[in-house]
Formats: sequence, C-alpha cells, structure tokens
Amino acid sequence: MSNDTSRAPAGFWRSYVFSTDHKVIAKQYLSLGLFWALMGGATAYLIRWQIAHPDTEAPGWGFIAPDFYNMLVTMHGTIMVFFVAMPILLAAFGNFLIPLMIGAKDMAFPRLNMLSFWVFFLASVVLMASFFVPGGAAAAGWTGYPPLSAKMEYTGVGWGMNLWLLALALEFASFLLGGVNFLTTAMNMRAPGLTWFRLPVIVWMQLTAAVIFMLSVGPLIAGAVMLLMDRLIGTTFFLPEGGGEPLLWQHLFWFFGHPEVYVILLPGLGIVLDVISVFSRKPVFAYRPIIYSTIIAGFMSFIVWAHHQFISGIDPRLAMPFSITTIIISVPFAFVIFSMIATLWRASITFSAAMLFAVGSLGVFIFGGLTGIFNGSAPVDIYIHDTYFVVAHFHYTLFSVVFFGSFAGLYFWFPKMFGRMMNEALGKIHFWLTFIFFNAVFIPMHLVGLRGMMRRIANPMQYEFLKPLEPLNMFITLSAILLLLSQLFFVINFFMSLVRGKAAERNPWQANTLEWTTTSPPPHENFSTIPTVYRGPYEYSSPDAAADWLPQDRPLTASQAAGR
Amino acid sequence: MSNAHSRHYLMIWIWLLALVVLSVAAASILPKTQALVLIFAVAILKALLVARNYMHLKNERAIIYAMVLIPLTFVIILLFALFPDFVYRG
Amino acid sequence: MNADTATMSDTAVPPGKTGTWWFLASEIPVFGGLIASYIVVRLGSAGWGEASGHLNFSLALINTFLLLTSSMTVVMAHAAAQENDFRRVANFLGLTVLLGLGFLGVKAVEYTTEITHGFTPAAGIFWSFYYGMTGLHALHVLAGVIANTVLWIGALRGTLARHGHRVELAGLYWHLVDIIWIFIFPLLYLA
Repeated sequence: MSNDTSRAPAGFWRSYVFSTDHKVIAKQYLSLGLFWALMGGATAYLIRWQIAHPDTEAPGWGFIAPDFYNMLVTMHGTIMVFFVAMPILLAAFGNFLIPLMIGAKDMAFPRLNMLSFWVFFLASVVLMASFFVPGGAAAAGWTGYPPLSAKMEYTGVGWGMNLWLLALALEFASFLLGGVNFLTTAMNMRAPGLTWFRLPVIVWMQLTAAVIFMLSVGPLIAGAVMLLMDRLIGTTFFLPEGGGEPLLWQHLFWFFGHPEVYVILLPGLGIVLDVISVFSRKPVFAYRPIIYSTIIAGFMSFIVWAHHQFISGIDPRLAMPFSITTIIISVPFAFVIFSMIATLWRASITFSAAMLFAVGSLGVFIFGGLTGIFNGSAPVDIYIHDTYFVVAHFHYTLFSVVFFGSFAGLYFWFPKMFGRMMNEALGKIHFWLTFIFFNAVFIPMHLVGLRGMMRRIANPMQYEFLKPLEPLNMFITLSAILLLLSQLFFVINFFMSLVRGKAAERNPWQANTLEWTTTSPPPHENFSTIPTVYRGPYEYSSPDAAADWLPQDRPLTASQAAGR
Repeated sequence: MSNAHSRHYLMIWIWLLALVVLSVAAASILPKTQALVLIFAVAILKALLVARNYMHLKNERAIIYAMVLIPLTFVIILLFALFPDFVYRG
Repeated sequence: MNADTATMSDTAVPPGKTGTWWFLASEIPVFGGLIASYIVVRLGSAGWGEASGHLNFSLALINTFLLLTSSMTVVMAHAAAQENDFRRVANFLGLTVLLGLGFLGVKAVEYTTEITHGFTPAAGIFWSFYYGMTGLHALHVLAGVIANTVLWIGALRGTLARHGHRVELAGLYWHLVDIIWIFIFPLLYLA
C-alpha cells in the first residue's frame, strides 16, 4: 500500500474526519447509528401516539395525517434496520474489534474502509433529504411492495421514494465494501498463532454475517433497480397492466430480507457470548459446535424466505417446504442459546451493566424465538400474518440484539474505545428500566395481535372489533414513552463518561482477548509489537493459571511448551 | 514463458469465437428446443473457459472456487423457487 | 499488506485478489437475481418471441465478439504485467479500453434505433427486462472501461509498475462482465 502507516496522521481533518484508522471509522459509524436511533425512536413515539390516541395532536409534534402515518411506519423500519442495526452492530463493532482481536494494525484496505463510511454517510444524507422533498419520504412500508411503491400516484410520494431506493442502494454498496474488508482482513492478517478456531466468537459472527449479507443482497439490488426503472422510465417489471409481476418483488426482497435479519442477529449473539464468558469466568460452552451451527444457520437462512409471503398469493405448494425449513432453522439457533445458558451454568457471575444487558438479551431473544415458531408454521401464520403478533415477535428478536446486545457491547468495550469507564450504577438503572418497559410494550402487543389488530393502520378505532383494545394500546404507548425516556440514562452516562469518566486501564475486565493487551484506547496501529497467540480466547478459570483468566498472548511456560 | 501463456490465451479466444459461431448456427438450423439446449450448454462452456483460463480459476485454491460456487448455488435455488409462482400458473 | 509482521495468511492469496473475488462473489447474485427473474417471467408468459424479434441480432453479435476479444486482450495485459513489460501492458490495456468503448457505442446505436422505432422501456414487459438487463450490464461495462483507462494511463506513465498486480484484479472484474454478457446474449437475442 502506498499510504504511509508508520506515522499517525496529523491534523484534525485527517485524524477525526477523513481517517483511515479503523477505530475512528468505527466511532463514526457508531455516532451516525446512534443519531439514527434517535430518529427511529422519534418515529416510534409518533406511531404509538397515533395508535393510542388516533387523530389527536401528538405532544411536541402535532396532528398525524394518515399519509404521514404511512411514512412513519415505513421510515421507522427502514431506519432501524438499515441505519441503526447495521452501522452499530456490524460496522461499528466489526470495524473496531476485528483488527484488534486478530492482532492486526488495521484493516486490509484502510482507504476502502474510509470510503465505505463516507458512502454510508452519503446514504444518510440522501435518506434525510427524502423527508424534505415534496410528497415527503417513502410511505410504502419498509418492504416497499409494488404496485403501491411502483407508481407515484398510488402513494403521493414522488422523489421521496426514489431517494429511499437510492439511499438503500448506497447503504448496500457501503456494506458490500465493508464486507470485503472484514473478510480479507480476517483471512490474511491474523497474528502468528491465531488459527481460525482461536478467534473470539464475535469475529466468527461478524465474518459469517458479512458473507450472508454479501451473497444475499444481490437480488434486492436487482429488484431496486427494477423498481426505480418502473417509477422513473416507465418499465413494468412490477406493474400488472404492463405484463409485470408484483409478487416478483416480494421474492427478490425477502430472498435478501430474511438473511438480513440474521446478518443483524449474529454480531449481537457474538457480543452476548463474549460478554457472558468474561463475566462468568468460564469458557464459552461448545465453542466449535457454536461456530458450525452458525455456519449451518447461515446457509439455511437462504432457503426460508417465503415464510414472509405465506398469504401473499404464492403457490400454496411452496408453503410446506418453506415452513419446514423455517422450523428447522430454529435448531442451530436453539443450540447457540443452549450454549449460552450452559456457559452461565454454575459460573461465578458478576452482574455488571454489560452482563445484565447480555443476559437480558438472551432472555428477550428466547421469547422472540419461541413466537417465531408460530409465525413460521404456515397454518398458524395464515391467522397472525400482518397482525401485531408479528410486530411483537420481531421486536423481541431484533431488540434483543440491536439494543440489548449493542448496549452490552458498548458498556463492555467503552473503556477500550474511549479510555474511560462508564458509570456502572447508571448502567444498571438503564438496564432495569429498559428491560421492564420493553416487556411492558411488547408482551401486550402479542395479545393485541392475536385479537386481530392489523399492521400499518393509522386508526384502529375505526373498526368496532378493535375498540376494546384501546386500553391495551394506550398502555403500550405509555410504556413505549417510558422506554424511550429511559434511554436518557444511557445518553447522559455516555457523554458524561466521555469527558469525566474514570480513566480506564488496559484490561479493566480481566479478559483474555487481544484487544485488552494494548492501551485504552489503543494507539494508531494498535500494538507496539504484533502479539503472538498461544491459546484460544476462553481460558477462564483454567488449571494452567493461578488467576481465573489467561490471556491469549501470554507465552507458554517451559513445561507447557514441552507438553504441547 | 509469456509466449506459452499468450498462445494459450489466444487458443482459448479462438475456441470462444468458434463456440459463438456454433450457437448462431444452431439457432438457425436446429429446431427450437434443441437449439436452446445447445445454446445454453455452449454458454456455460464459454463461461467455464473464461473463468478457468482467463480468471485462472483452475490454478486457484478451493476457497476461491467456493466464493463462486456458493453464490451460484443460491441463485439457482432462487431460480427454481420462483418456478411455481411464475412458470407453473395454477 | 504489511510486510513487517509475520502474519498468518490462511489462503496465501494476496489481499487484493481475495478482496476482488469477494466483490465478484457479491456481484453474482445481482445479475443472477435479474436473470432468474427474466427467465421465470418469460417462461411463464407467451409471445415474447415476437418482441425479441425486434432486437438487432447482428449488432449484438458484434458486441459479443468485441467483449470476448477484450477479455483476451486484458488477460494478455496481465501476462505482460507479470513479465514487467509495461509497454505491452499499455498496448493491451489500450485495446481493451477501445473494445469496451466499442461495445458501449454499439449499445448506444442499438438503444437509439430501438427507441426511435417506439420500442422504449415502457413498450412492454420484454422491453423492461431488455433495458434492465443490458442497461445494468452496460453500466458495469462503463465502470470497467473507467478502471481499465486509469490503469492504462498508469502504464503509459510508468506509475503502474509498482502496482502491476492491479492489472490482474481489473481483469478479473472485466472477465465477470464478459461472462454475464455470455449469458445475456443468448437469453435475449437467441431464445
């Protein structure tokens, strides 16, 4: 590479804005992701207000028209999946951790890495702009089904929808480039002694997620091009009057859409496993089978997608095969969950804030996985598809990793990222409030769904049979508002700790992995000398050491070396 | 050394052109279905020639092969999964 | 790649090549999805033969020849780069760029003729797919032409010698674009 990596870059712009340092880039993704989380939360507030108190003025905002409501639900989904979950779980944690955990100075392609972030930034600008164009932002659901999405007249949204497609295309490009970087880096730049099966679980998860993303997004890119052409130049890919096929979009979307949820899930599971291991002082239970299960689940994620389409008019003969594959895919994930529980079993557990969030994530994910079984079985899905039961299900599975998992990761790696400790007491309060109010929002939502409340309607009270649900909906909305407000404990803690947190030592958690061997935060190029690895990452409570931890890079004793 | 490589690349090029001619001939001479089968078999053959010789896949390690074959497999799965909804109308 | 660290390289494949192959792996489902959609929608309907009869087969045949030849010239450039003969590299890259531009020129002629005869993208589902598939492919050809031009200029100036492996990487991308055409050509023009 022609860029000189032997000196830290000078100047504000090269150090903090146009930096090729993976740690800076990670923080850039984190900041942008957290900003979008705020936007996503704002859309959630307005959505919930409208459902509980239809056609009234939302405090702090005003009246929510039906068209505007459609835009809210669309953008809430788009923002949370593509502009919160992906940048935080994959780009921020992946960028920060992978080079450090493999003992490398940086990513394989640092300039490409910087480009990836700025492409994502551009995607964010485009998406933000879409709110302000005439007609407003996209309003055809985050799934963008045609014909509704294919013709401007159907939604009244013109450039908003086109910009939405453009923003997604840019986001996909950004993460494709990122994936190339993650995979090449891990394949080529691991430290001496760091074999594949000595990598921390989270690295495996990030890599698997990158592969899944890269192989699944293609058909949706094709579909997005087709949809954009329908909207802009008069093609009829998805318009029946021109010989087109609306159902085709659904297949192209969900062929990607389903693997995408595992792209989001896997890094979160990785964070949880690594955090649990540290605060249990125990190795991750069944490390290798977890890796194999994850890879199997990755393959299987490509053959379950039509369970999102059971009642959309697909050939009924597709229902059974996709039901079967969907039920089967729960097996490898169940294995990973059981391994998490087994790791905790009889461990000497410290319930730090990070650990609380990790265990909370586990509990929330189990609940979500269980309701997934109902959704995945076609005969049941016929009744619950497009109701709030589905919404409750996916908020359990997604929230468990996107929020509980991210918080676990942030509380855990904050000292390494920023060189300061977060306030543990505030962190614990943050956890309990989040956990309680999250369940208060989403457990009743299952009931609401089972009683027939459909998704994406601006005013449930227009239907007689939904009127009895008003008290439940109001309770959910109140809980949602409290859930959102609880995040203030995190925001305050985060910023306060950045400036006034106690200085962090190298290894405050006494963990084994390589990122903890260097300073907090690590210097440019991470390590004064590239470490050599002698063992796996989970030698906690090992008989080979007096302490209950044994770093990966501690040399073998003479007798150990002789014995190997 | 480079002469051997260059000759090889030229040979492959000649083959590719010959296969194009074959496809075009088949399209005009053979009945429709047979022509199509031959044409697509030839397309696959041309793709293999380019991939193995020009992209040097035949000298690459298995992991690179996997990076091509796995996405291809998923595409084929997608193709066949689409048949019931679009080809076999109920 | 950092030469001063003893790194474990799983594949012994240089990072540039690994990265390029990952990128190509991600491109396969893009065109795969588009082409699969075309195949099933076409098989499920009747009468596309009529529409496809309006395509200019001869021009497409010329394009097939141009692209196949350009695949040959770009791999010749790679062979020359391995011999450090950057004059030959420049010559072959220049040819590749010209052939690529020729492809785009022919495509432009095709599109213009078709549109002036009323066969616009809005003319029906066949034409949607025709413009979609060839258009997306042409954009990829354009990107390849740009990449090859950058390398060609580097070869002429002598700055490419330090990064000779990039010829192979650009070539890999170019071959993928060629392979995609190898399938698009019969699907649209011969079927």
